[in-house]
Amino acid sequence: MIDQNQFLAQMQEILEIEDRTLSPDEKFRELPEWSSLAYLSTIAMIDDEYNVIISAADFRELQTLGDIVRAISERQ
Amino acid sequence: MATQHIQNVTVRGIASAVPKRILEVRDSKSFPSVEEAEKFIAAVGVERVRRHLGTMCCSDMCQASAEKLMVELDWKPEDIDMLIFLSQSMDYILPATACVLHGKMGLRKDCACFDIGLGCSGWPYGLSVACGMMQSGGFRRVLLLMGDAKDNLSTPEKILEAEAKVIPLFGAAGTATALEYDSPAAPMMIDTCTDGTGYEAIIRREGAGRHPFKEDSLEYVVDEFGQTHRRIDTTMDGAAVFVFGISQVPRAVKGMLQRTGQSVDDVDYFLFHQANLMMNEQIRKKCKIPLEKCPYSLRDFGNNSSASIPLTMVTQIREQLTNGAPHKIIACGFGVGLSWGTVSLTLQNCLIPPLIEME
Amino acid sequence: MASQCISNVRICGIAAAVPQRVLDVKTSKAFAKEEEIEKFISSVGIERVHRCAGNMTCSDMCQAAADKLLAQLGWKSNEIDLLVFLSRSMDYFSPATSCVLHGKMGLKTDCACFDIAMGCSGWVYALSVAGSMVQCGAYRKALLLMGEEAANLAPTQRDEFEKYVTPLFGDAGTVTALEFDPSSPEMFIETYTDGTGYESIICRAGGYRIPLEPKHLDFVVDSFGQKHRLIDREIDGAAVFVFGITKAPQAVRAMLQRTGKSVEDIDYFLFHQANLMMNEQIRKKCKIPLGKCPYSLRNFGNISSASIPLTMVTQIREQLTNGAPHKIIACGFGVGLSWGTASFVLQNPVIPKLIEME
Repeated sequence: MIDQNQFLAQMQEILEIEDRTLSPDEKFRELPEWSSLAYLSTIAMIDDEYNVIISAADFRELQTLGDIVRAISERQ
Repeated sequence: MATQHIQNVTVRGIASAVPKRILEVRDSKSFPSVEEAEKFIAAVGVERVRRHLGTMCCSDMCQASAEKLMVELDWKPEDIDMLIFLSQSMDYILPATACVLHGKMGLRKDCACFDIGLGCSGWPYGLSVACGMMQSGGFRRVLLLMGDAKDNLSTPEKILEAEAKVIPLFGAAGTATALEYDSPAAPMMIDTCTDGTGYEAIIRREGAGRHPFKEDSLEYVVDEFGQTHRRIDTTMDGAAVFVFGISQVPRAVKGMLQRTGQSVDDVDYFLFHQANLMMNEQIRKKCKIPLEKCPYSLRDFGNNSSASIPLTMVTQIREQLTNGAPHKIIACGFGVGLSWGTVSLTLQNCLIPPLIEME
Repeated sequence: MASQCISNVRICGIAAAVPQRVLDVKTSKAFAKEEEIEKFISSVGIERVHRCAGNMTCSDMCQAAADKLLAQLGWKSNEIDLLVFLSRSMDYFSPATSCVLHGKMGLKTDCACFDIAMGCSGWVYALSVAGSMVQCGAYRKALLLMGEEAANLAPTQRDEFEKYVTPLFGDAGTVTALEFDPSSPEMFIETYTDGTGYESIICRAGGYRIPLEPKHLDFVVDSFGQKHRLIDREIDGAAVFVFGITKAPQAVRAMLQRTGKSVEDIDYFLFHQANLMMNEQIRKKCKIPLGKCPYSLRNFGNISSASIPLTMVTQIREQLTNGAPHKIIACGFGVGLSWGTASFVLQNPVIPKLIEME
């Protein structure tokens, strides 16, 4: 099972966000910290931590951090 | 299943040549700030690449590698039965660059020469084709030349303009792998795979048959992934390539270990195409390969397409490979196509001259 | 010595596709005078060529031929272990067109795909490469796609090209299907190269030696008096003629000698369709009766690596599919300079009728 809070903390680490807490409703593509590099780090982290690889096409459909959490749990 | 078992071909030698000129990533004007350059270095793992500031073609570097190797192996031009040039940087659209090299190197008339058009998966694929053809004994000594050049530019001014705009991921290199029919030889096993549904993940959209060359094909544009290049140059969907690499490559390596009845501990070196550090490290970790078994040439040479694997052998583990002991190797090339290939082989007394640097 | 004896491999089928659009030599604007047209037809032997329209490419024709052949052979797309695309009319400089076709045709992932860059000697070379790979048993079913377009043209560039350039080259795509079959008779292949003649047939610009520039789209007159763009083929006709009439007969004789056969033992000699004068010279030097030497040149022109399979499909399809075994020697020769011969037996191959594409 994926722990949503743990996932959000992992995303905060990737995005180097220290001054605030991310919420599941966050539209990650709109964050100033989001970049192509952050994207690759996210895919790698999900692969490492949850043993799931989300295809580029599927990932394009995801809008919020909560969507990513759901996508991971659907594939576990 | 496209798995080949080769019983009678030995890799006699491997050589590589690069341009002498070095392009430092930290000096590159293609990054908006120093921080961006440092971020690139940390994630992609490339600090410098070799680029020529003139008209040096991939075939020139391949020829230098082949000639050096032939001297050291004491192979004469008349000994060569087949020459394969594997590249996406051909001298001419017509004729095959293998034929051009055949003439320049003074080879025999009853020598088979042809080009194979592939990129990052080239070394395993080239071995697959060459060894497949050699198995019946019709070809004794074979040269497998491969590599790629930078973007296709005509003058130093245009090359410098491109270097100021395009992120320096790709380097230029040419390599030669010398194969000999040898019975019995240490067994070699090769898997070759394709996923053409991903053909657009790494693509040069304009210039060839689907979108012929037009007046504006040479203009610099920003592609949908935010990268600057000309329409005839490579567009890369980094995310799609990343997902492809970290899914298919560990599967291919594990499949090869299983088919050869080996564990990671049994293999001395795992040689991967040098794509980018994040992807390669993710692949290495998923395969549970210790870092010391996984040499990198990425930092000093960048991504060299089909030349990456032989270039890594020449620049990173040359002394180890030539110490007389047998070395078990699994090599995996992956990328444009999407295409990937894995080879398991043993190298012993393989001749590897030092890296050739060309003015 | 690049000489192979391939066992266990059967040529199961051959198909070809051409564009429906026909360019008639008699109405071509590329000739200065009417007499020149007649001279061209009688010496070069070409009356019409098929040419692509719209956005059709070589790979589209190859794919149509392959789809048709797979259906008639009853082969499923997931049975194909090897796909080779041999052409200089690739869809993209990168990736390989074989990979693009792999995706479009829905092949399985453990299928080897690669492009070979060759011209007129291509059919023999592809047989040499793929035949060796199939004979070991790792690849059981292989497709060799071969074809060419006269030039790399955007739809807007076509009219101008056809107005200036002599219609020697046609467009076509073909497929040859190979299968691992231990009961199949042996196939003999010999391949040769003379790279000192690499400039005899050459596209000077567009590769890495002379990178593309806008000026390469301009029509210029080359040193042999032919008008074309620097990215199109330049041909030293005299050099190619001497090469063809020397090397092709030598190679055919060497193959006859090696296989212990005489001209009478062979049912068909299939030559690359270069031009009538050269091909007739070769035929006479080999003492081959005209009846054993079919020509597709008249109606299709020179189509590089597709010439040999296209000749089988359009000229001797009924004979080849009559159930009897047919002994064949094929000889491809040209750009490189590169040439090769193959000696094999065709029995019950599946050969669909020529496909004409809109």
